[in-house]
Amino acid sequence: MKKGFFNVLVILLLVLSLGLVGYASAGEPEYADQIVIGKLGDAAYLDPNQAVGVSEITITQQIYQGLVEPSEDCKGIVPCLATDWTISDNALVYTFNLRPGIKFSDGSPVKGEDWEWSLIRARDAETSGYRFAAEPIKDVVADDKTVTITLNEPSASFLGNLCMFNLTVGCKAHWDAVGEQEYSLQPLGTGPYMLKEWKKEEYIILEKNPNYWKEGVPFTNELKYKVIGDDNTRSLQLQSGDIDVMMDVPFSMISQLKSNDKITTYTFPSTQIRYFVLNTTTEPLDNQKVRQAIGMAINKEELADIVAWGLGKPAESLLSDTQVQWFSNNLKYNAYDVEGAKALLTEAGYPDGINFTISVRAGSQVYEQIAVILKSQLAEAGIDVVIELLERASLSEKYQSLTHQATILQWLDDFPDPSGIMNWTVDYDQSYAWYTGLNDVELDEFNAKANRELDLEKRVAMYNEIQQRIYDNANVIPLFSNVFAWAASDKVENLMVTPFYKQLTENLKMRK
Amino acid sequence: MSETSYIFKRILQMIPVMIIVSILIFVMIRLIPGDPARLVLGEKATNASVEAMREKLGLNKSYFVQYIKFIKGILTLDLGRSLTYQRPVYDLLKPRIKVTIMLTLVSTVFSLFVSFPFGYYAGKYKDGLIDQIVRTGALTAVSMPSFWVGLLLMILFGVKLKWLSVGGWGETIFDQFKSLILPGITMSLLTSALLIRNIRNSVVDISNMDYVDFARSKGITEKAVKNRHILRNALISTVTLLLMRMAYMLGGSVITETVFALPGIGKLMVDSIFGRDYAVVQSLVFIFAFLVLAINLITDIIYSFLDPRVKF
Repeated sequence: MKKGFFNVLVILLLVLSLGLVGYASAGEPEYADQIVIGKLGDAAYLDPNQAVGVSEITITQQIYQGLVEPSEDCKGIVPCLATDWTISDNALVYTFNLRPGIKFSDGSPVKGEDWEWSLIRARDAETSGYRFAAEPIKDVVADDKTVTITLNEPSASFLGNLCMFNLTVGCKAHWDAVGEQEYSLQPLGTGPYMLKEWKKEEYIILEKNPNYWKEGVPFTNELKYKVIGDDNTRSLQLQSGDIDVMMDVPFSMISQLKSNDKITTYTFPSTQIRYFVLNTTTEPLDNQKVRQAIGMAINKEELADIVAWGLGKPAESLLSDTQVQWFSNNLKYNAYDVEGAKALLTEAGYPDGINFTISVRAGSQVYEQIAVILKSQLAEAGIDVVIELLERASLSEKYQSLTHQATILQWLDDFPDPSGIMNWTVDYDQSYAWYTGLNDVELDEFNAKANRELDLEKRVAMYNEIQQRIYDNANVIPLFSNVFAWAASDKVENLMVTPFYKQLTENLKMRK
Repeated sequence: MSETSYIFKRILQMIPVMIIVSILIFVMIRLIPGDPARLVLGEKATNASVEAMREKLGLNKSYFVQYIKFIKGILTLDLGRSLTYQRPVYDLLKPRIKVTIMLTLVSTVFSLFVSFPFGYYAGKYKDGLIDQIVRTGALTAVSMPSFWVGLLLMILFGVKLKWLSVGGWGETIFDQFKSLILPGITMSLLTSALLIRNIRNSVVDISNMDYVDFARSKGITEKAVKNRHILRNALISTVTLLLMRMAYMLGGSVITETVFALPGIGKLMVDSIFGRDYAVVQSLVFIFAFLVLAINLITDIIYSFLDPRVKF
């Protein structure tokens, strides 16, 4: 009797334990509390006014927010801290209705004076690298429900400017309490995350904002951004599990990471394009036909294939095709044609070819590669190129003083509006027309008009014309666009980076 | 003259050298093209912003005024503010010098553990099998580029075996020393190779000396001959070499630090030069020059203890 009873007990216990195991595994997967992200460099300032580098903006974007933001696919502009807005008929006054009840991460409510202070500060900061975005502002009047911005001149692109990192709201009381220097080390914003710990050159830990205005997000409690400058080391850390997400995977490493079945590689469309920048104040690049010939002698397809490992596309228009609404689909451009280039050079008065120097950034695999490939491609058309490698600061100095002949630069759009890159390339005063020294007054005036045109259809048509004109001027020759390449452990879910290089973290999660 | 007055005289001699070093670095860093203000503000800054930043940083003042500010800062230990890191330079240097000092110590210890036994036996059994192996090994170690060795070590121990983390700097002291194992090995390769050769040659030379034969004929054990006579005398030139290597390592190794993601002063120095961060570069070079002079002095003092023939 006892033995039988004992047996039944054992069987019951076994069944119970099996049931419990079944219950546990049938439940929700467990998610990690912290995700470790490996990034290239550390931030210096976390004040959006001063933060100019990609390394800093990646962090400030999680902490600070503005009235509007680019939509997730970056094709338009959507509400963020504002719910809706109206633009006056003369395009001078922008009025925003604010979302009620927004608080900073320390619990203090966002007040009208915070908006006024933040936007005016962005405009008046003499030493801000992004001041241009706020310069159109004449006056800001705000209360807890609305923000009214009056501009100096009518602008159809100002909504785009409002997506910029420095036109976000900060807490005036916090600034008054800690002072200028500490403000950039102790950021206080309305975004999904807030700063928990910052060990310079080692890591930054962000934690969930308990007062975030969106319910239920962000999903993951903490994000730890580790600074790992060396690409190889960063990749090894991902493979060994020391980090969960790797930012900025060099194209050459993608296939190796892909073959690792514990890692998923991601490519995201981007607005990043490389450009061949020619100084039109030096011979022979002062001749427009010569510049156009150079454009014809470049095999952009081959360039994109080699440098971007097949993850790039040739670019003809200055504007990225990710800017779907504004990209010109009827751009008339010259196909790759070496003989045509030679003929054009002869027409321009250089039957024996030309020579000039390209100054490129030393230590950058991408730029050095581009220079070397361009050299061999252009040689076929009788264009002799000398490559000069310069360290970053020396190179900067050279082209900013227009003492270079040619260089290779890149652009990444920050908001879904063409005015960003157009103003920079066309405005002679801002950047000597992107360091090409080409003062095309007609184009400058036309571009200014396009900035003010409120009728969308008309504005699109104007920018189409501008893209054609820039192509014909051939002072800035677009080479190719490429994707952003990231990699992560296959336990990570919802990794997403926008074409404007913003990492969307609200739904980012990782299974344990 | 007595020892203390010799030391005092040496310390006084350091002062003119430091002054010359400070002038040299001050001028040289400013001669390189590149505007720190523009570098800080980024590519999209207007000329007006850059001008305003230059004013703010005091870059438009005369060289003389800027130099005086630098020297005053050194004397009051207010080393200025780093442009690229937005911290007082002193706060920036302290943890990083600690990392570099720890790395130097760890790789020195590794070098000693490896080179003394191998160097001694290579010298003792000159041209024997051990000698051949050790000499070839040392040559190989010296020929391998450090970043490559570093990566291989990380792949083996970090990714495949998972015994150590792949680079990075630990949180606790224990973790920190753990994270110095692979970089320590990488950095000790060159020092070990140099030390082994040096010890081997010293041992060979000394073993042929009369007093070694005399010691043996007195009947001392081989072990005592080794410790009291051969090694002690070999130490003289080895210690000099070792201290010189330590002085070099204290300047930081940008390659090792980059590959292993260690926050040391090598990478700081290189990054600050690229960023034209005058305050950091000036302070670092000044400190480093001081360290080299100090180590030179310490080497001479130790030398005088080891070699009774040397007197001040």
